Amino acid sequence: MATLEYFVVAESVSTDRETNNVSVFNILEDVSGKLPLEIPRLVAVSAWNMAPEDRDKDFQVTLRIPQPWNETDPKYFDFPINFTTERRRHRVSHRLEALQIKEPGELRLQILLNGQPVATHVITIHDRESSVQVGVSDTETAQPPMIGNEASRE
Amino acid sequence: MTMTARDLQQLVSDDFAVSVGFLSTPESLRRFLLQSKEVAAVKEALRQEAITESTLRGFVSSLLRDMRCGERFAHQLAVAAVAVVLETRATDFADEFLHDLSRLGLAEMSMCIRVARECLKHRVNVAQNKTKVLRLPDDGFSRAWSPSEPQISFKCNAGQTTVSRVCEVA
Repeated sequence: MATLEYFVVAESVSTDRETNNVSVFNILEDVSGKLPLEIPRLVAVSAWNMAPEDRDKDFQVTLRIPQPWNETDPKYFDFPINFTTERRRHRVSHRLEALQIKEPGELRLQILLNGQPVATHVITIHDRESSVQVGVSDTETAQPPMIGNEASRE
Repeated sequence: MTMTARDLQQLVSDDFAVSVGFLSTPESLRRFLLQSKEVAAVKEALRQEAITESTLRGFVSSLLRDMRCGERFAHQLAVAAVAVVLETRATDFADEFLHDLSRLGLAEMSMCIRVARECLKHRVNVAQNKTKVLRLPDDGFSRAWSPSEPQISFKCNAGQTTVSRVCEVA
């Protein structure tokens, strides 16, 4: 069965055609700005180790973005990518543009393999207008609410 | 010295053929080609973009014009060398070239076909990349992210696949 090697969300990613090496630029951990804000580019990269028996099997890797600000009735967006591979490692890149953010909180992006959640990348959204600053955690406002709380969903 | 498209002709030169000598198995030919300066030069030229994959495609096409039914293909060494050049290259063209060549069943060029199959065996160690760009319509996405909106479904196409939907959590 395929196993996850890594999952990370960043602004951009580059793959060298000669060496096939991947470079990930500006991993998204904290984003601050005047809300609503837009993340112009976002790439979710996941690398999967394939077992010999996985050859020529169909896999679906899905990037799941929770619909925030709605914890009582959580919904999410799914972006599936299907693949079959004969290689020992397979990388999947989901590139998103113009991700709109309207409220502060934790944006929890999940990666799923064949419908099963495997890993989560959290981006903390800070509102520059309210006194929240990255790295400040001694006030109540500096602790953003959970968005897309996994515990309530899984 | 930078290799140009013209210098690809080294791969069909007598000197190159003599340097290879007689190698009876695709494994040994692939190993030899991996270490040859001619293959290294083509790889370097690709890296420096002195030649492109399109140049390689044209080069191989021109060689295949010399193919004669029932006669041993004279440029097998050059085609095999191109296969070795592309073995570790992470592009669609490399995939296409190696797979297309390895699927051929022509006795006239059996050696370069078998070298391509060898290259594919080793290519399993080259990570495969799949990327999809998800472009979301501004209106749909903004509305979908609004907390006051009820469930909204929308679709957008990235390539040939529907890439987005809104789901209820079970």
